[in-house]
Amino acid sequence: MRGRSLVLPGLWWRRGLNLAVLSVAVVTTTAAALGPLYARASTESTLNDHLTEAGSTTGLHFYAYVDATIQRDIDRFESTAPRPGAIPGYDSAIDGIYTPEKVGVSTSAEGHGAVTSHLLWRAGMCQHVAIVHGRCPSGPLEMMASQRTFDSGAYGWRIGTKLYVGALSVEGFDGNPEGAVLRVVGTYRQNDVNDPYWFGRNYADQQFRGDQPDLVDTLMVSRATFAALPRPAFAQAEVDMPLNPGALRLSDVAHERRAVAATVGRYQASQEIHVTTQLRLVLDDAHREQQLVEVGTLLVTLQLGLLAWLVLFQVVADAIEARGNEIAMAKLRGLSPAATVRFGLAEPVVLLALAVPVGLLAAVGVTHVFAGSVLVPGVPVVMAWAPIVAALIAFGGGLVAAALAGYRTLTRGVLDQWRRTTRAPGHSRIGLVIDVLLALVAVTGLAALRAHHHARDTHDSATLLAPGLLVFAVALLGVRLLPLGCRWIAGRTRASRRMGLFLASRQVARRPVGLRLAALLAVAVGLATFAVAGESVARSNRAARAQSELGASQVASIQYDAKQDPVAATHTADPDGRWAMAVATWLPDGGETVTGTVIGVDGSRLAAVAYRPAGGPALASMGEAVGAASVRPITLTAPQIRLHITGRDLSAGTPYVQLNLRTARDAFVDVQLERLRAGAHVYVASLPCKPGCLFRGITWDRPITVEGTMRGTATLTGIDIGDGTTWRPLDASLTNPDGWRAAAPQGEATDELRVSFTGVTDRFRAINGGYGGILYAYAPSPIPAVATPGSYVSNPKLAMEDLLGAQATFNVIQSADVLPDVLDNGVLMNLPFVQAELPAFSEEATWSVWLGPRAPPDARARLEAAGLHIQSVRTERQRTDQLARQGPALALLLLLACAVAGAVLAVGGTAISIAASSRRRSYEIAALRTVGLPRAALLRAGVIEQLLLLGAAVALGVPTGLLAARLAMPVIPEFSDTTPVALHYVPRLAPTAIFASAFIVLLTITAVLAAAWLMRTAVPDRLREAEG
Amino acid sequence: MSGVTVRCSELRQVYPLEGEAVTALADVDLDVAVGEGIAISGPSGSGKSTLTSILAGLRRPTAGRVQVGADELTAMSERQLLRWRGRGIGVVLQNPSRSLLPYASPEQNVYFARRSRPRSETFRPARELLAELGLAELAGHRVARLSGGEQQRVSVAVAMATEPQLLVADEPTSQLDAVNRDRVVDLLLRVNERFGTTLIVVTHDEAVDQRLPRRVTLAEGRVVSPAF
Repeated sequence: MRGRSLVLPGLWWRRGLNLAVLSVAVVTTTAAALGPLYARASTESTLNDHLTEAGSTTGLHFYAYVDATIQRDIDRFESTAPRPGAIPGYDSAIDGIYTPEKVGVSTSAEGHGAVTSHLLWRAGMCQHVAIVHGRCPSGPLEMMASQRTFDSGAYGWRIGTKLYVGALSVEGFDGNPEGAVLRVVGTYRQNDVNDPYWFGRNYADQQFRGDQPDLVDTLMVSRATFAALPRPAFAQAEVDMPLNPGALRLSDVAHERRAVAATVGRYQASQEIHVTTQLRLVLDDAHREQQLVEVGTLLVTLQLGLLAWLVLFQVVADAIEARGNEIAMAKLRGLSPAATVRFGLAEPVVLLALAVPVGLLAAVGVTHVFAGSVLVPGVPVVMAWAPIVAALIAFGGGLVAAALAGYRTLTRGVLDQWRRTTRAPGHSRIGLVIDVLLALVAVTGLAALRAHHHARDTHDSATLLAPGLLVFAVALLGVRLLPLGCRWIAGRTRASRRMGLFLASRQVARRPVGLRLAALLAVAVGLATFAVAGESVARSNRAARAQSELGASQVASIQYDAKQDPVAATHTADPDGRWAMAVATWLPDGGETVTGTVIGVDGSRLAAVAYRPAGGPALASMGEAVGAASVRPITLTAPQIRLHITGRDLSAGTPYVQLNLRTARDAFVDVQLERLRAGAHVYVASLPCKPGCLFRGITWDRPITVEGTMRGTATLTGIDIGDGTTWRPLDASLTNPDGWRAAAPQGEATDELRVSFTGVTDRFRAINGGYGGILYAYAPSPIPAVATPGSYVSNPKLAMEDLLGAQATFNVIQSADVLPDVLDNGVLMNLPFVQAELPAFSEEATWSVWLGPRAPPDARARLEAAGLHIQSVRTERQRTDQLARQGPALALLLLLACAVAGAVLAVGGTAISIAASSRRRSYEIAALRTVGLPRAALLRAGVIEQLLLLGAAVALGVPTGLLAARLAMPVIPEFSDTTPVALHYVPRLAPTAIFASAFIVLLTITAVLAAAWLMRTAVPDRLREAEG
Repeated sequence: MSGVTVRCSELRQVYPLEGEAVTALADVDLDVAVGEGIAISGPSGSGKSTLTSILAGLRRPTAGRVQVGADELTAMSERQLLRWRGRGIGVVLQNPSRSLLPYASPEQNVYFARRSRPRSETFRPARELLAELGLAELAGHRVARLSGGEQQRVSVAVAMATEPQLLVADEPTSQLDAVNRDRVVDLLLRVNERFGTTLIVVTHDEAVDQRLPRRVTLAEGRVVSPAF
């Protein structure tokens, strides 16, 4: 009963102020504990992202070469692989057998209709494909072909067809009279090649090979089928163990590394079973990013922790000051210095101690909110030792703050306290010197950061200190100007009627006690402004990068059936060209002129569908550069064609008229007509074009018997199509000068073209066995292109080359730093042109459909209805979210949240300080009221005084924050990897303006309420109290 | 419990004020006998409060000596003065809010005042002290809920918490009405009479001045009525 129980009544007595102290202490503790908690959750999320992005590469792929007909060998292999669950995270296994070498497949024992393919069995495979017709192979000698192999109609396969399977000879597949005969029981379509089940392997590898047997999509067979194959049947027995990214936590990583390394090492030693995994590399990458997150988080929380500590210092000082009379009473009663300190600090210490568990809980809650809204779903929030230690450090910091803040009150004499006098402010010069020194240190630190930062260094998180240093320096020195300004204002208003302004400015000029507060608030506002502006910059850059990397708001990876042209199918789905565009990316197999990726786009739709790449040219400009043909491609389906040609000045040896076509299966289909004759004649030919042929041009084909020079003039005056009895003219743009061009000569030949109202006239001359012709110019040559520097070899004589050996030259019309999708390493061309020039392009390329912002909700359904099979869809939002989960972005987000909280906290601290000082100020105001100053003028003076202090903080903080964003953002990492996408650092005005406006409103309300509160307490009775 | 002699010899207090020296006390000599009750009165600025603060050990005079019983305050260190305040003197101030913890009860305030004393030292229970001073019915109430007069009477009780030999009251009734003023003065006199405590009351209220056995008047820092 000696007074210990006075703490709780005291806390309750000053509950408003104490609640504020508790709130600030809780925020400080939360800020301290949040760092490690957030860092941990973020790094868990980063790890998960890395593992998820890496997909099946983190899995364990065991394989051995076996004779698939010997079940015992396969069983032995499968039993040797680790059991699911033996290594953490590897909880499942997929058994499989695959023939890495192609097998021959034909519809007869003699090899009729031979194609090549691979055989695959994979446990549960039928659950990962769409079975279009028939059923899943289950019994021996049953198989399932891809639906597009069926749709091609080229091989005559049906459900129930028996296929002969055997090994390939050097020449190809000649049949296999004694081999296995498999029955087709179904057709499949692969749902999503990116399904982790497939372990990154694409079994849809259909290729039409021209003069060699076609390669068709992998044939899926039952497991028992392998046993029934002719012996020996060399195959690869596989066990794939995918890693479940969600099962691997940070705390497991070290153990996981050891376990996987031990497993890999054990199998490598055996040399019979091979095992591959990229886990170590993925974990290394994740670890590097984890360090980024940890350092960034530490720097952010340090800055905000310091800010919170300063606010705490201010608030605790106010709280202790509010007990000044009680402390004086303790001294009057003769309490020892230690007892007085105990008495004076008991309440703040209890509050600080209470803040530890509350702050920890709050930090956990805030981290949960972060984790739920930004991080990978399901990321755990782990309460390890680090947040507890951080909270205890915050508690220790709070004690130091209390001790420092209470020093003045605790050491003040009793009479000084009663008189409410403070020590003579003789420290102002020392304070100025200290402020200047601190500002110099801050500026030096800032300069050092900028000097030592390397461009594009994505791992230099120390630059996160730059904005804090800048706002700190400006705030410290800036507020020093406030009294000078106020002195000037007071001088100007001394004899005026603006009593409120005069009193306020005089008060600030004479007793600048609020300067520290203003400086603190300026730092908080500056940091918050920087964070808002910086996040707006980072958000814009994330969007710009995502848009540039994807090319459009949605990118649907597609497959298409053999009969389909994806460009035409896209046109069917979106006839107006407003929201969909077919795109193909291709790595040329030869030609040595393109070192990057060729991206084929539908030039006419580029501007409507794609995003302009950041740092790249305008879409309209690119679309214009890659060009659009002046004539449309002609697809022939009629059984016959009739050419009207007039021959003149022909040499003795005349060429054959040869019609050049292209079908879906054959790149070069030539139809020979009669020899060219003098005079106007009609040349008729039957067309092998029931499924449709692309009309390419006409060759003046040199007969083998003709020697010497072959020359003459041929005028194509008309083309008809029909069935032999009825004909209709074909619009082949014979009078359009851009519709035709000379064909690439074969050997030594020249063709001089002239297009007139009569038709296309070619004056040809060929020597030494050469010949030429004319081409219908639905595709220009060379193909116009937009390319990034370094993605091609500038040599017009070289050409791109496809697998069939077809070549196409291109001409870079426009250079671009960045292109959509392929970024800084690609060549962009008009897709129909590339298709026209390179017959194997469509099969070799990877296809997708880009969906623009105007895509209707049923866009995918429309594409499917048009015959395209969507495998997977990547969206701009997904990519943006992914980028937002990278380490630097997470640190910036934490900075935003903490800085805004810090600014609000500083405003709260200001309000508390004003309230705490209101009692002292009320005596002055009461005295002024007693001498007759009107209440309105005093209220105005109170509001203006607060606005001068708080407004100075805004006036300093907001521009400095914006300046910090402009200066610091270029050196602050925004991504964990480099990007060629051009990043911009001008903050967006809207979020900054909204933040600043909201903050000004908040400050104005605070100022008005504080002034009103002061006026209410400044009653004349107060003066009587002061006499005591 | 008993009183103590108080002897001030040639007490002088000079303040610097805007570069000039202002004399608050000029060679004041004052003797107070054991158990005596005196009133010190005088107009504003006469030095009453300065003298009170010196007697309470809160201020060191510019010159002169202050002897309270065997203790010479002017020769004590700050620590000794602090210790002395805890045991040798009780102070009642004009404003009870400076003497009492508003959120505590009178009983708790008494105990708080005893914190300066070692735990081994025993005093009569707080309730008994309050009862002796006629404040038993207020013992459990929170100070903030008491009237001004009640608070000032509690202040007197709290000043007596450590049973000091000297009680100094600085304008104890200036904020009270006549009824409460009389009650407070009654209480001070009861303390003086019952415990034999030496009582010094600084006042400018003639009604209070008249009730104390001996009166000393200060003017311009000097004793103008007999100091003996």
